[in-house]
Amino acid sequence: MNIQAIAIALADDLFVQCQTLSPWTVNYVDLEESLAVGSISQELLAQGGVLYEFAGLAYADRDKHIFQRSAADWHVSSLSFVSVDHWPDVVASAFLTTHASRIIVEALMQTSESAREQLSLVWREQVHHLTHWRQWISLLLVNPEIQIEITTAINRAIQKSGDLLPLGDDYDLLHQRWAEEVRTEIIGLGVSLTADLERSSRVSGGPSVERMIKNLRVARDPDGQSSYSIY
Amino acid sequence: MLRDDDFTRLLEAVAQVEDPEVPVTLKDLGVLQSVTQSEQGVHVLLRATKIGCPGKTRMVKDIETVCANISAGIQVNVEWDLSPWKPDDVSEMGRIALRDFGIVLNAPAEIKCPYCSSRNTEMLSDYGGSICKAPFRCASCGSMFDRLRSVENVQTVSVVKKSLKKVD
Repeated sequence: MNIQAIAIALADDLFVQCQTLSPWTVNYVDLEESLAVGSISQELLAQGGVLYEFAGLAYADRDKHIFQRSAADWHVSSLSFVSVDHWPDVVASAFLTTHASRIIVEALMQTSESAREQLSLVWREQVHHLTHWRQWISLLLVNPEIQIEITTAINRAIQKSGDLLPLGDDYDLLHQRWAEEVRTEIIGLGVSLTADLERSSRVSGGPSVERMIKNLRVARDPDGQSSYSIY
Repeated sequence: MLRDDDFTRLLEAVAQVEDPEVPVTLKDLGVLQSVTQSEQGVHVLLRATKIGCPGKTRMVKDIETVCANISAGIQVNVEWDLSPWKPDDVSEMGRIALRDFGIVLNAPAEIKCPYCSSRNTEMLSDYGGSICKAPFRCASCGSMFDRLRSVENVQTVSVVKKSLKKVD
């Protein structure tokens, strides 16, 4: 198991999910949800930071990794790019990505006692996020008119979820577990599952990555060595 | 290494460093875990209430500043402990300071309004204005207050209690 590669790939996904979810803080759903999205985005960013550190990326390396990598060198899961205009799509993709993140973190935690200590908080937060998104699915299912939308959104997200667990031996069992858990839970929630949970390879770069990189704001230390410390 | 009396002064100074948001010391908040020294300098161990706390960098800077005021040029190594922060880590003085600021720490079943002590309170949301807080409302006096969140003691409000309608 290539622990470092898995941790960095997940950290990249969490970083992108933070960038694309956080605009929903001001895209009105309701006030409480606006606060929740802000907190969840912030926590995704911090979780990415913990995983980069876990993978051995020091601040300067992390800086290069995020701000100086070309779009073609990013290999992010499709669902990490959250919808900008349709809340049920956000809920559906966040539910699926959080499920995957939790399973990957669990696998990393099982590699050593040190890993368990370093990642236990990330795991706990992922479980909490998952509860939040699960509750949203239940809420959207209550209204018959929105029920159709969330059902469609979940099936649309599943069609895009093939690259959530990257192709490769390290991920085979994880994908299997993710697919089984997601299928069981979605059906249990009362959603008609019409799309297949099939795997696909991740695409390098692309317009979504380019747009995200273009939108990144850089705040540098006075010494110019790191982009993370703004005080 | 610092002389004993200088190190004692440094310990006292670091113990006075406050949280960037709430007027309570990091020591009373349970964030400051330990301060030690070795040939490599002063070592400070902190435990954030949340790993995504945006005040972490400021806390480190403030600790470095007070240490430099005691001994200019001293090497200060601040490390973050990733163990879960717990409400039990907060001192009695810290609890009082937080309560006076409208923040409670109690377990969900023991929540009391910090203004009127009523137990007739309602949690409004899982997440609040910052990642370490969850908002509450007191049904007796109408005050809004926060509970400091901990991953050790997560309480969730079902969003299903809301009702939605489709807006085209």
